[in-house]
This record gives sequence, C-alpha cells and structure tokens, in this order.
Amino acid sequence: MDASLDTNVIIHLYRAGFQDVLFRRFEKLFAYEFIRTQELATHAGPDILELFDKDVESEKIVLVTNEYLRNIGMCSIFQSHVNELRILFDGGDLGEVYAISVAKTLGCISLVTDDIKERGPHYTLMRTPDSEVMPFAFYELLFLDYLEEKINNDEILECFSQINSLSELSWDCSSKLKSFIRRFWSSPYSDSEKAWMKEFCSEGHINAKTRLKELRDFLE
Amino acid sequence: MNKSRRLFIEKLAEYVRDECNVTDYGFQNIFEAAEKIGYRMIRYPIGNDAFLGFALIKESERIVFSNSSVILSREIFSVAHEIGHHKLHLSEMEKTIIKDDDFSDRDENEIEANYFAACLLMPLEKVNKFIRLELNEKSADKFNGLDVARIQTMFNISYDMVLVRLKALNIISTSKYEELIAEKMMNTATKLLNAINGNLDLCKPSEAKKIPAEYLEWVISNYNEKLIPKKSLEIALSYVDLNADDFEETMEESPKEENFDDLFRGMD
Repeated sequence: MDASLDTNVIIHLYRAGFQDVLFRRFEKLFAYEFIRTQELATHAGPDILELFDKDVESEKIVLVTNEYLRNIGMCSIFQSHVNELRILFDGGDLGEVYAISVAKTLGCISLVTDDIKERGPHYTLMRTPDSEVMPFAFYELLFLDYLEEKINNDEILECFSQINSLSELSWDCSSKLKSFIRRFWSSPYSDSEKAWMKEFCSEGHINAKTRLKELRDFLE
Repeated sequence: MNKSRRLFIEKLAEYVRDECNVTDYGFQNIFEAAEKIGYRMIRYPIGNDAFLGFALIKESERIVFSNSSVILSREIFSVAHEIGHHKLHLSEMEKTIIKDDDFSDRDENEIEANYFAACLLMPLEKVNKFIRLELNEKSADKFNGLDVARIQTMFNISYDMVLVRLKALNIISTSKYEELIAEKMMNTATKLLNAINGNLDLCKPSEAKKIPAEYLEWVISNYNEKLIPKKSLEIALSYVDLNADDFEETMEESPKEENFDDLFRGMD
C-alpha cells in the first residue's frame, strides 16, 4: 500500500522519532516538493529536516517534483486535481491540497495526515462517498500496527504519548480508539472502508474485537 | 457530411424536439428544455470575447455551458449546438469535452453540431408551415426584413441564423440572402424586431447566472456537514450572487460519547 504524506504528520512523527510507523506500514511514500521546500522549511526544525532529507536520499520517501510528474506524463492530471481540491479546501493550507492531489495522481490508496479537524482533509475524505483516498492519522497507523501485533500495549501507549506530548496535541488515546472502532466497524462512513478493514483482518488472521478489548483494558 | 449523415442528424433533432415536447415553431425556453431532457445547464456571463459554450461529460453527468454575455439568440444557438455535440460526438469512454470558441465550420464535428442546431431550432416542416400559415404563402423572393424578424421571433433565433437556414433549405436565393443582410445592416435587427413588436430580448445579452439547483444544495449541505470551510461556501455562492451568511449553519447536537461496551457490540 502506498501513501502520500501531509506536512503535520511528518513533523509529529519525526519530532518524536517514530517515523518508522510510516515505513513499516507503506510500501511507497510520497511527499510533494512544496511540503518540503515551503511547509517543512517553515514549520519543522533543522533536526527534522535533516532526518527527512536523509530518508528522501535513501529513497524511503519519494519527493514528488513537477519534473517528476512531467516525466511520468501526469503533470496536467496533478494540476487538475489541485484546481478541484483548492475549491474544496480553500480555507486551509496548500499542503493538504497538494498531498491529496499527489495521492490521487499517483494512485496511492492512502493519505497520511494529522489534520483531523472538521472540514479538514481527514474528516472530509473519510466522509466522501467513493473517495479514492483513505485518510489515516498517526494514531490509526498505530492501531493497525497493534492489531497486527507489531507493537504491544506498552509500545502503543509510549508512542502515542510521546507524539502527543511533543507536538502538544492533547489527544486522548481511549477516545481515539473509540473513533477507530466507530470508523471501521460500528458506524463506518462508507462500506468500502468497512470492507477494507475486514480484508485487513482476514489477511492478517486478526481477531480485532479481542485485540482491541485487550487494548481498552490496558488503557483503562 | 454525406446525405445519410444529414438525414440521421435531422431525425435526431426531431427526436430531441419530441423529447422536449416542442409543439410551437421554436423553443420557448431551450434552457429549461435542456434540463428537462437530462442535461445540467449552466449559464454564466464570462464576457463577450470569451468562448461561447462547451459540452462536457463529468462523472456521468452531461453538462451544457453557455456564455450569457453574448446576445440571447446566439446563446440559444450555443445551447442547441452543445446538445448536438452531446448527441453526436461525446461519450463517457471517448471524448468527454468539446469547447467552442466560435461556431465556424472548422471541422466535421462543428459542421455536424451546427447542422443539428439548425434542424433543432428551425426544422424544415416548421419553416414551411410558418411561411404557409403566418406569411400567407408569401413568395420567398418577396421576403423583407420584417418577415425575417417575424420568423426570428417565432423561432427564437438570430436574424442571421434565419437567413443562413432559409438559404440552406433553398427557400431563398443567394441574391435574396445578400439583399436581406443588407437590409439588416441598414435597419439593424433590433429596429426590425421593434417594428413587428417582436422579441427584443433576442438582441441583448441576458447576463444570466444559472446553475442547477442541486449544485447549490450540494455545496450548502457539504458546508452543513462540515466537509468544506466557510470560505469555499462563500466562493461558490458568490458566483451566483448569493451570500453565505444567508445560509445559516444547521447546528447538530454533538453525538453522545459511546462507551466501549456499546462499540464492541457494534463489532459483531
């Protein structure tokens, strides 16, 4: 599974040193050059920039430039996605518009973004019928890792708390776990997301209910 | 365009007139008729020098756009021409858009869309009927500018188009065509229409801003469902001179926080 990255999630994960969450979940990761040259350059410190650039250099992340899009003949398709999405997200920043456009242009199933506020990309994409792109916030990637037993109770809480506290997010792990259950099982916004999770659990031989109950007990 | 293609287009135009229930000589309101037969009709004044219209298929929706900055009779022709493109040249699997900067016969598709529009707006039988019943079988070589203005008003088209069509149908000769064009130059189409109490609106741009009501409903419901920011709502509504503040956000009660036991039950 491939993903396009939004600025905020890069900052949150790299700041806490948990960027591996991205590398173990996705086969290919893409970030549009504007996110690196404008948004990260403004909002991320030099430490984050250095680590991010190293990951680009080692090809863990593909930096999508206009030249890259031209070379693969997708420049005009990308631009038309940008034009359409700017209408939808005109109140927000350009980074999210570019991140979603990259996902749509390159056929990535996922957008990783921590912009979960109402009218933001995570909120809107999740509720868009037949959306081609599934949004994931960092905590949802952690829950997926937890379901697959890639991380245990202590590790998920440690990771969540570190990211939360270093980026001053004030998010509550139990509350996010409830949102995760609602999204994929009890009241999904789309059948396709529910089906995606069903397949995810089936392929991984995961008993999601048992596993998430265990996490609930641990968090309580 | 060969004879069989011409006949095919004529039949198609006749079918569309039937579909639109046009029983008069011309379309009373081609914009409403286009919507009635399933097109999403958008009219917007984008300037007299801008393009005239386009036909588009987007996500299964068939859209007709017309520039309302041009005079109404020309805009009516634009809509008929774009319907022609939809019927003849666009499909979801192949070409999905044709934009018209002008209606010059630059290629076969344009010739066909023009022919379709002419047949749709001014079919041969209706022209003959009009000459017989309304002009009292007046001989075409005696037509004057006022007769053309009468035809123009009844068929809701431009003076020039009436002449082009009458000539194409071999009802008037080339010399008569030129004589009537010259008469228009002297008197202007507006004066001729005025003289017969005709539809003067045909000679003025309507500057209409019309979009399908559903489009507005979608943008408002997207805003109310917190999917788009207020700025996006404001921009969308401003295109049709509406104010976002007139559409108060519907306040929904925030859902009661469920407990884990309820949520886990929902996982079964």
